[in-house]
Amino acid sequence: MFINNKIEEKLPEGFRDIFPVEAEERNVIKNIIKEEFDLWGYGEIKTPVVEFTKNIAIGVGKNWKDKLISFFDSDGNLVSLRTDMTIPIARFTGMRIKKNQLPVKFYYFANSFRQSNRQKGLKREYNQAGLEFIGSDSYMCDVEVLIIIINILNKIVSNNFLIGLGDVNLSEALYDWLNLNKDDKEFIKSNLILKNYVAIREYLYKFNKNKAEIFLNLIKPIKDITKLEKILKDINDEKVINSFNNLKIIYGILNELDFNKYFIFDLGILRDFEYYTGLIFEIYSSNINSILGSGGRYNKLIKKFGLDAPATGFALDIDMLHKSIKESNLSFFKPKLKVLIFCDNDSEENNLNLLKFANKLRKLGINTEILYEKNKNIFFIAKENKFNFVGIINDNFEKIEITNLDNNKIINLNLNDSLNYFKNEGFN
Amino acid sequence: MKDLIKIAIPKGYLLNSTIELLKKAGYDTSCFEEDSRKLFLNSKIDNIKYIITRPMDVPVYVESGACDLGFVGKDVLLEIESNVFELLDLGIGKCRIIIATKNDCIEKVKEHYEHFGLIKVATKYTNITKKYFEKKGMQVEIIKLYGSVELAPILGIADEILDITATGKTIKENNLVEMETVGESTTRLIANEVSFRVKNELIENFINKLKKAIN
Repeated sequence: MFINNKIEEKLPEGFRDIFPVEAEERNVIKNIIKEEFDLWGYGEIKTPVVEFTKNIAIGVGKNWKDKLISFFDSDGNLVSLRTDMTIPIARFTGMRIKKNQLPVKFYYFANSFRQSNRQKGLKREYNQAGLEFIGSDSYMCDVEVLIIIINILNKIVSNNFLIGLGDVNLSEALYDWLNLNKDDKEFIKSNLILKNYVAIREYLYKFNKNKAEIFLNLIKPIKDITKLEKILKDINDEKVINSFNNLKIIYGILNELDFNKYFIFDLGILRDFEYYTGLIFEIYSSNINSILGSGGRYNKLIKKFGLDAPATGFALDIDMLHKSIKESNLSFFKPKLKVLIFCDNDSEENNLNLLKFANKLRKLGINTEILYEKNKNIFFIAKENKFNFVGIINDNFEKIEITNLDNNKIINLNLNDSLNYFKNEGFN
Repeated sequence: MKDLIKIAIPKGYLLNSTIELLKKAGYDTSCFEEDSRKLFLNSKIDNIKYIITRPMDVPVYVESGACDLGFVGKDVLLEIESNVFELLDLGIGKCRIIIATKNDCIEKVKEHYEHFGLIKVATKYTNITKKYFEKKGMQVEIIKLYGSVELAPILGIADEILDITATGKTIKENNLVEMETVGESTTRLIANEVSFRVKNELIENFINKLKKAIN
């Protein structure tokens, strides 16, 4: 099949490799997130990267074909890469969890895949961390997941974020108040996703200019809840006012906890996934103009997989969190002390001694690497790989010449004394 | 930094009408009057940074967050399909997106399509062209040109062109004739999806001033 056996020196579009430095930095972020997830009692879950297309399509909704990366397995089944973790977790819960086990709380670190249909070099792989609180319809669960987000982001990006809150039921009540039929609703929703407010204005002006203006005032960010409440009260529609209660209660609790500064309201938020049924939110970074994550309540999704369980959750985008940290806090990732050791005489005996000596250093908590063969470029390699010290041990394995690469100072010590030296440096 | 808004302004035929609108809305446009090739212009009075760029790049700058707001023709938005807020129709920079062919050639082109099932269309707007003819169920070969699209039928590169025209003058002058109108275009105000939330007060204020100016 492949006539030319040369390898492709590139990756499929939308994918990329990650080098150790970046991978390590991501792990720092992940550990902070994991610690918070653990503290709240969530348990980590892993699911396969592929699922049957049919199952994913149930969650993704219409236009699923444009969003999935799909192929056939060897039995001829159509399978797809997961587009997020909420759908696989809903599938997992439906298949494996019994009603009397609820509520269950899961978290994950996972990559997901989405087709980018526009030719703009958009990425197709997303690295996410998130959680799902399954089995309770209480607004307190929504409050809980929002607090977890704030706790995590405070540690990672301090105050450089804002969470926009919306509510699918409130939006639906507004559509009814506007007297929209099914097609009208579809038009408004699809243009909310496209963010085409010019088209929405034009369309609604045909019905009722006054109502259109009120609606347009609601689908933009509103900081002050009293302002939002006033607009909704002026509408004077029972269903609209009732549907506002959920947001009001949730915000009220967050306000009591002094978290109100992190929130705005925006009824224009409509995620590209169709499974949301209540609270819906997006997390914005104020220093890199990117969306850091999103989430909301989805009470009907898991039922499609066999268990009638309400749920709420969110996902954070690790790539964007990483970018945001890099932008604002350069000292966030503190490198560990690293030592490179090497012996002038690479006899078998000395190599064994090197192993033993390196183990002593590692016991002190110092990252130690050994160069087993003679290499002229030892200092170049050490600098490239961001070592702090290079230790060259003499032929008879008694003395060590230590070069501090941060200031280029050289010091000669007996091998045994050097342990103390590194120990002190390590704690400085 | 948080009080500063960065706005992408398109070079070319929309530039003057955009500056005029800004002026009418009460913004300091003296920075545009310096005759220079500067790509960044600062208005210290309004705390706005203007970035002058090619029209097709405006949505890209705004989508990526390099700019918070942008002025751009609807034709470009249809072509680029960016994930940005389209907030206002400013009513300026009116033009139509049209299909044209050589004078007296309408019948010939139609006949050609019936026999060969394929026509060649030259355009700067390959995405709009693709979508338009897909919707009509016609097979086309799209030839991307970067300028003087009107020449294509005359030189025999293509049967038809898809382009924008404000008055139809250039079309007539080149012995072309309009066949169909694909759509209409005016200048739009667009916003980055995160800026729209994070810098909402500044942007809201800007929108309100523009609204007053266009009414």
